[in-house]
Amino acid sequence: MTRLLHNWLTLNAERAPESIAVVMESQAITYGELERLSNRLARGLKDADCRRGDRVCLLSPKSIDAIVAILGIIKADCTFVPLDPQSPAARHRKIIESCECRCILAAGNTAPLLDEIFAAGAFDFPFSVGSLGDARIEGPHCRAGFSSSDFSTYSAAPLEYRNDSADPAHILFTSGSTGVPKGVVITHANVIPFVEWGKTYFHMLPGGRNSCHSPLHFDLSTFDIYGTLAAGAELHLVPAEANLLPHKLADFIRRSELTQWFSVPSILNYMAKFDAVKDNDFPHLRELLWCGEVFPTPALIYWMRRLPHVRFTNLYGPTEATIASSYYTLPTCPADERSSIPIGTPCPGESLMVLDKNLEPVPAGEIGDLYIGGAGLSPGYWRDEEKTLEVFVRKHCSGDGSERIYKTGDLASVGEDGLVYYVGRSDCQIKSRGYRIELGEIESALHSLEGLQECAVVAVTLGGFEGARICCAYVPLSGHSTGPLTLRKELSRLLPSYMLPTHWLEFDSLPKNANGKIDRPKLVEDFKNHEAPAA
Amino acid sequence: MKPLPRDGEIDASIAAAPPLCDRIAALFSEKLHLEVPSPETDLMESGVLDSLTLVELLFYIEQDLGFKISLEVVDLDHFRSIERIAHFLMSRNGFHRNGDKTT
Repeated sequence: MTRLLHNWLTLNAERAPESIAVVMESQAITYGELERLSNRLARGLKDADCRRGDRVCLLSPKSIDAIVAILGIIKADCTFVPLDPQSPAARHRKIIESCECRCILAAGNTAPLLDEIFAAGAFDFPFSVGSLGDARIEGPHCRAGFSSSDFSTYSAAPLEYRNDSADPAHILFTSGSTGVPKGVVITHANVIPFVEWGKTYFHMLPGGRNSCHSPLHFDLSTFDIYGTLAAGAELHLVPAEANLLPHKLADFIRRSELTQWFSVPSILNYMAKFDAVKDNDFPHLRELLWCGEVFPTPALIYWMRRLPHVRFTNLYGPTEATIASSYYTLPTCPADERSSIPIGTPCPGESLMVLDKNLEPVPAGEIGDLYIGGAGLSPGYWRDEEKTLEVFVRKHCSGDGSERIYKTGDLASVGEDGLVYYVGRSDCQIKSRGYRIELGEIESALHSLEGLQECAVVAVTLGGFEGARICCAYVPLSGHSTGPLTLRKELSRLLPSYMLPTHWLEFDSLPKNANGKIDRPKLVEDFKNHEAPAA
Repeated sequence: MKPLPRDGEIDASIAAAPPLCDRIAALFSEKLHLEVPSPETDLMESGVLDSLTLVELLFYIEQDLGFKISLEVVDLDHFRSIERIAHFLMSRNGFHRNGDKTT
């Protein structure tokens, strides 16, 4: 079995160096080129003092250069930390400080953002900044010390790797309820079993054309990238702008002759709402996978009726358990729009448990907390033992042993059919357009703004394609006049755009329940009753 | 958010239509709660326009401004800035009113 994630690239570069590995619009790179460029970059990073285990941040939109960079980073025995170019500078600073990165690799068009990150002050640990490709980054507060094109004369031969499969491959920072993003550490060994299984289960083969729809800081992209490289297939990067227009996205799938599509359901729902899929569309498509949230059954039926030649699979699993932990392939198109689609059965090497407070299984049909065990389980949150111990717990097994399991925060039940069904959340985490968001992080950012006496953020489902809507109820401080326009603008300096509330209501005081706490169910009703635009 | 380069064709027709630009800017600020610094600001580069905002914007353009635009005919270049949206709406309006293209 493969030991490190980049071994798949090396193997396929030896097997078929001229095969296409990654496609972005009119550009493409072969397996041979990807192998050589990432080897050179790895040597360049080592020259820039990046040592085994050092964190290297990548600030770049999806591009061929970004894929080269990810592979170069892990080939340098370092840990890849993606930074979302759509996030504001203040949030990036938190992540950079938290992971104490040794180096930031940045795409040329992120130079203004990079400068803003540094304008807020120096970091108290040494690191370098490098630019991707030929771009020169030279701002008043930040200039790149090197560019990846400086390494064009470096040896392209394979490197000696010191990392082992138990070493981290990447750290993915997700929304944290206290306002600080938490870093989920993922090792090479966490990823490899799922990719090996997925490659076989989804019949991924050389010449196959797979989508790369999710952004690089989203763990679905882990399967896009390494699943494709393991299969020797082509990875087709979906341009971010195509997401805005469902018919353009359908066009992209047609033109690219994709054989496999993997994304969050919201984009599939968006395409269904605007009827972007024709009967028997996408003739090359064989597999359609989704993960990250519930795919509304009516939209799934829409897709399945139009694409009878495609196999539809629901994947389930939080970042902490790596890509996905369970799967369910629809045997037939659901007959009833109200039927729930199970999250299914555990992938090989994983386990799903629906347990009560004493970590004992609940009877079939009853709702309990969903726990995951197995190969995909992260070692924990980056430098946060307290949070790690809170949710990664040990369960006694029969005999003397115990198993490390992860409390997902999801509620689930086991059906009479033996399949696991997702029921909801036990906390304030929501999914909006596939993004995992802690409402507490938004509230914490709101509390840091001036001019508010009270505020609360609730999620409201109005039946639109985007999933839950983020709604903010607020009370201005007396003597202050503030409103959604100002609040949203100030919040956008602290939070990425997908976390910004889209609906706002001003109150004289927020409704309270008998315990004096903010009555959130009442707020949800208030937002529902308030006239909402039809999306 | 950096301004988009203006092109001659847009300038010519928009010169006569500042009220439309103002009305679109008002939709952004009052309905979508988004501050757009100027009619030339690039809405895509900064990620201001996502799928949800775009769909809501089309809804308000129809409800408040009376232009019915199907998502199918939208090209992102038409929605890159407030100025370009105004230009696009005017060309569409001409098409419906006269039964012939005005651009």
